[in-house]
Amino acid sequence: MDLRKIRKLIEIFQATDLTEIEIQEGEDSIRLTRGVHGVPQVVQSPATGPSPLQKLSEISMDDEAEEESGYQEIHAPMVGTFYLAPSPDEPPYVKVGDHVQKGKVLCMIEAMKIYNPIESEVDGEIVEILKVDGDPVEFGEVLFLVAE
Amino acid sequence: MIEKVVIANRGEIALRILRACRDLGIATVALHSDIDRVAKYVKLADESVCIGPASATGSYLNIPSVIAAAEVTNATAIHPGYGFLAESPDFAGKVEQSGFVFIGPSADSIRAMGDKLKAIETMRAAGLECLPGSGQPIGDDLAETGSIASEIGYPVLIKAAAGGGGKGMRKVNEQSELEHAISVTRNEAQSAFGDATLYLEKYLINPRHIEIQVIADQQGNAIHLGDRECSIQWRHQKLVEEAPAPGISVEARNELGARCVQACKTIGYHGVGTFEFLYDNSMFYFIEMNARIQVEHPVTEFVTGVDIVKEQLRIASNLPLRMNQDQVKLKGHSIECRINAEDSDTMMPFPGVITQYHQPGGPGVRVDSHAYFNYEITPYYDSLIAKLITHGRNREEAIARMTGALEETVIEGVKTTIPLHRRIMSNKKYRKGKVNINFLDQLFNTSKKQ
Repeated sequence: MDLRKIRKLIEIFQATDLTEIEIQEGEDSIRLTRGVHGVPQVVQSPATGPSPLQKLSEISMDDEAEEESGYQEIHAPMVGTFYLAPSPDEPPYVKVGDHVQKGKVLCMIEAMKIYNPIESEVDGEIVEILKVDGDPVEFGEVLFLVAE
Repeated sequence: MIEKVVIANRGEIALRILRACRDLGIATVALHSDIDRVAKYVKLADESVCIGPASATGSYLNIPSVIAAAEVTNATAIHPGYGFLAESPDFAGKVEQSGFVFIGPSADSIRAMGDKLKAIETMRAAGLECLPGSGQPIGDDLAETGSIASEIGYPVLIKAAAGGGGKGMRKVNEQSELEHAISVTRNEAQSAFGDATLYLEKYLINPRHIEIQVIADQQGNAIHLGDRECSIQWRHQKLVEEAPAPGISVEARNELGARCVQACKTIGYHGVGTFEFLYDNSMFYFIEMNARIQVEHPVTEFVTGVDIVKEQLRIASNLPLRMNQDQVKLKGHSIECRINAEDSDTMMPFPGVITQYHQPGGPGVRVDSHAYFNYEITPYYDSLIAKLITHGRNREEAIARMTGALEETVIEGVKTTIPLHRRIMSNKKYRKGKVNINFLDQLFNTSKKQ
């Protein structure tokens, strides 16, 4: 959901006596609730939104970036070595422009000689692959950007 | 010398290892969990790798992640510190199998010492006195166990062979309590350690906890670095340690140390290690061996001048010890106070953000700490904020310096054990060196009566 749209909604919300409002638009939904200090609080789904305790001014930069780019980030669930193909002679699991479904293997991360398949958490199109074969990756690093 | 060390730990010991590596010109890789990413000591390392989420099972205890981090950084060795994976024989084995040097004893040594019953058997055979006990796992025959207990004399202690850290043991005061104690401890041992093996030994009423520090190289040389008094404990967690142990004669210390050195040679132990004893009626009873660096190692460093962590790195690099037993000289007295984020009255953990931080200084004062202004003590890991260590020409001077250092220290935002340490340092019994493992219980009881 567009950040400007959220700001607009908050303005409307603040001008009313409502304590809670939920709006659904396609797969996105937003719920605004009024906190104890009279400051409206944002509860956004999916769970990537700021916690209900966060003030509006504190919506973190990461969330804003993700909101604006509209891309879903696929993070490394473990530390290890990144591989885009099952073996050097085989084609890569995915390339930019591919449409992937939730559960599709995107890459392997090797740790202790064990190759761990990393699956997509979302349906969408691969927009960017941020790592190349053999790159070391840390826990939590962004590997792919996916447009839902 | 090993070239690049992965530090598979966090907090003050990670910083301690980093400093030793820096002294020796060894490159460092700091491993950290997601939540420790912001910790400043991580930034002092040459490289850092995030290995998992805040929960230790996914990060600091995750063997594949630690080894993968060593692989992606082309490290040569892994230092486990204390706690976490330090005494996991599986980890030590996998580190070696993956082509890295494990900075510690062999996996076999760790395994042998991890089974408390086997460790006692080994050490008894190597010539150390152990507590009277069953000497073997106790079976299901209650009458048989009962007769062993009566022979030893109540109270007795039921202990899990795989236990440690004060878990999996129960005191039995009389025969009627035996059956219940065995079944409860057996269940506890099964669920906590996955091993229901129990044994029985004599329970000492007011013993002292005294330990011997040893270092052994891979060429078969071993020496001891004297003893430490660690009786001041709360629920088996040490709080104050000192070296040398007060009231123990030089002859008794050297004799015990020599026996530990002999035991190391007998079992082919290499690395640093600690033999723990209960001391009662002028007798030292071996209880267990810690096959790793210990939290309280700085008091030994102060009185011997030996940098124990550097010795670990040298031994792991296959270098021989740089001194023999005759060159080890104890100078003065040293005390360590563990400053934990805990309430001094209830001993409950107190996580939070440090809002004011000032460390003490001056002659004979050392602070080992990873903390700083605005550092957050999270509920995920232990509550150790800082180790305050002082050294003096004698015990009185070490106590005086500790009293002053505790006064200089400012830590706000969280409750700490500083008020308790002040009480201990001014306690008459403590000042006379009259301590035993029930010292803190007695101190808390007196304050309740008042």
